[in-house]
Amino acid sequence: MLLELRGVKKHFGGLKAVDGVDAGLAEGEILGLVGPNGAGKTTLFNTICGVYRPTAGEIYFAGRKISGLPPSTVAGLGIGRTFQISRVFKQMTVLENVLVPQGLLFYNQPWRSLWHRPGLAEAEKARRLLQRVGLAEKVGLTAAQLSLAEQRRLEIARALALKPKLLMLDEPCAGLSQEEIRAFVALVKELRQERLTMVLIEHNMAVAAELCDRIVVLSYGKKIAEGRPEEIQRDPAVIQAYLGEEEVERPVRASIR
Amino acid sequence: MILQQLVNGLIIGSVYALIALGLTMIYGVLRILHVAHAGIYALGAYAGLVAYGLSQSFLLALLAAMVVAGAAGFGIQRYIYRPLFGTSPLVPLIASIGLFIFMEDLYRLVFGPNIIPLNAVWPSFALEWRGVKVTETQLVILLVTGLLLAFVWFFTEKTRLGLAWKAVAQDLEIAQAMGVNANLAVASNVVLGSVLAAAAGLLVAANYNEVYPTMGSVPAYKMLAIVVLGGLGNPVGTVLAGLLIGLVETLVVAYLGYKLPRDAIAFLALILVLMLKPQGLFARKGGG
Repeated sequence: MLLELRGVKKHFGGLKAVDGVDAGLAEGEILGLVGPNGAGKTTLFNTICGVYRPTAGEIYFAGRKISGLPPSTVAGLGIGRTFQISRVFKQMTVLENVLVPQGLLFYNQPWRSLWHRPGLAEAEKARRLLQRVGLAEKVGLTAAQLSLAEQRRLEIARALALKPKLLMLDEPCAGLSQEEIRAFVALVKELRQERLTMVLIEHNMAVAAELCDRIVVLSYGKKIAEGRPEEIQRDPAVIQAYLGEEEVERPVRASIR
Repeated sequence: MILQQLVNGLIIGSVYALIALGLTMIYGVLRILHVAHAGIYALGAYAGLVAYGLSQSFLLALLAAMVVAGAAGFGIQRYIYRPLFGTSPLVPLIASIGLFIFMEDLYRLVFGPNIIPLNAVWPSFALEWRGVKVTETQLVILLVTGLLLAFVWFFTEKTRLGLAWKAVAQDLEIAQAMGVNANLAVASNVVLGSVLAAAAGLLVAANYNEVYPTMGSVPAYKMLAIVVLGGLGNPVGTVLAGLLIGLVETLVVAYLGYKLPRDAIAFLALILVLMLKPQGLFARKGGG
C-alpha cells in the first residue's frame, strides 16, 4: 500500500467533516473520491496533505506515518497536489511557478538556499514539465494571464515538479468545457501509463468512471461505498446519497397534488 | 547649489529606503505592519555604539549591529508573531506597537535618557567636485546602503530563498504544499529585514553623531508613509519612494526653509497619494 488511511477523523468543533475513513491505495492505482457537496472530500485531502492534523486516526504513506507532519514535509516525501479553486502563484511567471517546488531540496537548508541560484538546467527541467502539460508556449507569461484550463495544467506541472509518488487532484475538471475535459482526461491517461499513483476528487461521474480503477464514495464524512466504477454506479447507497433529495421531494409533491 | 542638495537628498533618501525596504519585505511575507521595526533600528544604533566603543572600528560596529538586530528580529518573529499567527491582523499590530514602546523604555533604562554621541572617526577621504561636497559619513552611507540594496536585490531575485519568499508572500498554503518550509522562509525574511534596519540606525547615528532612546519614533512613522507610498509589499517601489521622500525633504528645506517641518513632508505626500492614488505611487499593474 502506498497510502493507507486508518480511521481518519477530522472534526471542526461539532462538525464531523471526516468521520472515520479507512482506505488504501496501491502503487500505480487511480482512486476516485466522490460524494455530494460537503461530504468531506476536500477536508480529507487537506488532512492527508498535512494542512490539518487529524482529530483521530493515522495516515501512512510509503510505510511512514505522515499524519501530524507539516504540509511542506508531506510534499517533500512525495505527495503533490492541486487545489479545488485553481491557485497558481498569479504574480509569478509560469516558469517560476514550476521552479518553486523544484527548490524543494533547498528549503530546509537555509545556507544553500541563500546562495543557490536556479540555473539553466533547472529552467530546462521546468520547461520540459510545462511542455508535457501543453504550456510550452506560455513559459514567459505571468500566471494570471492564463485561462482557467491552463492554470489547472500549470498546477499539475507544479505538482509534478515535486517528483511525487502520489498526485492528488482536487476537482480538476470543475469549470472546464467539454473539450478541455477531454484534453485533461487524455493527460491523466498519459500519467497513468507512467504508473503514477493518483487520487482524484471528481464530481463528474463519467470522468471518474473513465479514469479511476476504484472509487470511494463519501457522504457526511463517512465512507458509504467502495468499489469498481461500474459497481459504484449501481450501488443503492450511492444513488441514495446522490439522488436522495429527489426521493424526499417526490412524496412532498404528491401530497400537494 | 541644486546639485549639492540633490546629493544630500539622495543620501538621506537611501537610508530611508533601507529602513522601509526591511519593513515592506516583512509586511510582504508576514502581512504584519511591523512597527517594532523602528525599535530594531534604534537597537542597531545602540549595538553599534557599544561595539564601536569597544573596537573603534566602524566596520565591526556595523557587523555587530546587524548580528544583534538579526537575532532580535528572529526572536520577535519566533516568540511574538508566530504564536499570534491566524489571529486578527490587529492583534500582531498592537503587539508590535507595544513591543516598540517597550524597546524604547528598555534603551532608556539601560543607556539613560540622554543623547550619546557616537564619535565615529574615519580617514578623511571627502570628495569635492565642482563645489559639490560629499562628506566621509555620506560616502560611508552611500557605500553601505548601496551594497545592502544590491544584496537584497540578489537574494530576492536570484536565489531559491527569494523565490520561496515570493511564494509565501503570494499564498502561504500553496507554498507549503510545494515544499517550501514556511517557518524558515518567514524567519529568514524577518532576519534580513532587521539587519537592514540596524544598518540604517547605525548610519543615521553616525551621520548626526547621536544615539538616543526615542531615535526610532520619527522613522517609525516615516517608514510607514514610505512603505505605503511605494505600494505596500513592493520592494522596488519602496526604494524609489524612500529616495523620493529624501530628495523632496531636502529640497523643500533648502528652498522653502523650515516653514514646513521637515518630518511633515512624508505625511503630506502620504495624504496626497492616499487621496489620489491609494494603491501607492509605484503599484504594479494587475497586482492583487
